[in-house]
Amino acid sequence: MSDSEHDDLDGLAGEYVLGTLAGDDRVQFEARMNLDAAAARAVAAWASRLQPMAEAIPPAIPPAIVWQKIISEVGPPQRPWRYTWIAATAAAAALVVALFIGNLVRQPSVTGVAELAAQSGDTAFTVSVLDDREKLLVRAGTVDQLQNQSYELWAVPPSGTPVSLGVISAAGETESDVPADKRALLETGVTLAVSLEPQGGSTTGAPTGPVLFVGALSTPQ
Amino acid sequence: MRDTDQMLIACQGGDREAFSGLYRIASPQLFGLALRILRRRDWAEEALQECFVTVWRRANDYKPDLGPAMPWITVILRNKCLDRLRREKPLQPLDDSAAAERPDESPSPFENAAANAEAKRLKGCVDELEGEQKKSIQLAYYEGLTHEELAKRMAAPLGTVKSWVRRGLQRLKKCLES
Repeated sequence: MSDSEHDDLDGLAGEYVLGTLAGDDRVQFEARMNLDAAAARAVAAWASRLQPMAEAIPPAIPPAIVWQKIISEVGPPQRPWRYTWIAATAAAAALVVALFIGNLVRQPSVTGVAELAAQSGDTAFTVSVLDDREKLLVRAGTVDQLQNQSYELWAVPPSGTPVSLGVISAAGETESDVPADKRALLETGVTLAVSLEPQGGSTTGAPTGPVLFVGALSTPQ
Repeated sequence: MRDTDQMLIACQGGDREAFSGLYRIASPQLFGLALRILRRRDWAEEALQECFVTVWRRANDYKPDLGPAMPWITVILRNKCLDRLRREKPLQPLDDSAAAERPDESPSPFENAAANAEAKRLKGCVDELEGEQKKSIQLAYYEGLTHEELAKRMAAPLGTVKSWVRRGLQRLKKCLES
């Protein structure tokens, strides 16, 4: 490779990282990076060279919803599927048995189950969607008991704006009716999240405290 | 090897625990940068989200022997920001609420940076650039301006601006390698 070709590659790589390489030139250069090891190397070198410019900016904490959206796209952290299925199926089965015993007249239909957990931790809450989404049953698992604060359950639809499903108890089971206008949210795959709120729940209509536990709603087998 | 490098390598093997660790460590700096470039909180949140989804899906493209993880991720983040700017800019002028989101209004936050040896070195080299070269590179990096936008902002012909950028980068590289 001649010096001028080398300079050109290096110049293009620098402008690619800086961002001034635009339009078709940018698209073409990206294609080249994927094929040409020298181009990929030049880009990596420029990325390292200019990195202190990124580090000069004061950091800012992103809201918890960003992470919720990321995991709703790539799947929840940890928990290999087989365990999730076993746990969800067992939870659903146990629930059906419990409710069947409690209510011999009518066996509820479980349409969805979600296990909500911290990023690395035991299941904090198991949420079951019952009776054509008319009811929610939330069972507390390993979770801190709160004083003067409440856990609040949220559905996080793809639009990203959390919708409250109410305050849930840190012990035992909470059964609640799902308002008709919120039932459509309880699709398989929707992210459910629990945030820490003032006693009685958020007064703003949106989570105000940290999001502690998350999970996706799956269909029980 | 840095923690972030190891976490990104673990993501290549599908380790979601490492992915969430990487997000915890890397997201504040990336979010700060996205706010700086985009000046709108909602756009910055989306850019950060898109960045990490891409990091997870394309983790295998990261080659540790070419450099650390953070510059690799920063290129992705800035690309998401630039895509957004270039998609929206003609339609939507920057609004005032955006200014409040901007952590630092000075034209060059880099002036104040001397956090580590690498930063000091780059700052020293940026300071050695001619005024127009320095300004055009900083505007491009922190505001995502294209050559055309730089020409407008700096009231100079397009060809002149292109050579400021290109020569500025060449001089930076030379200075860093000296």
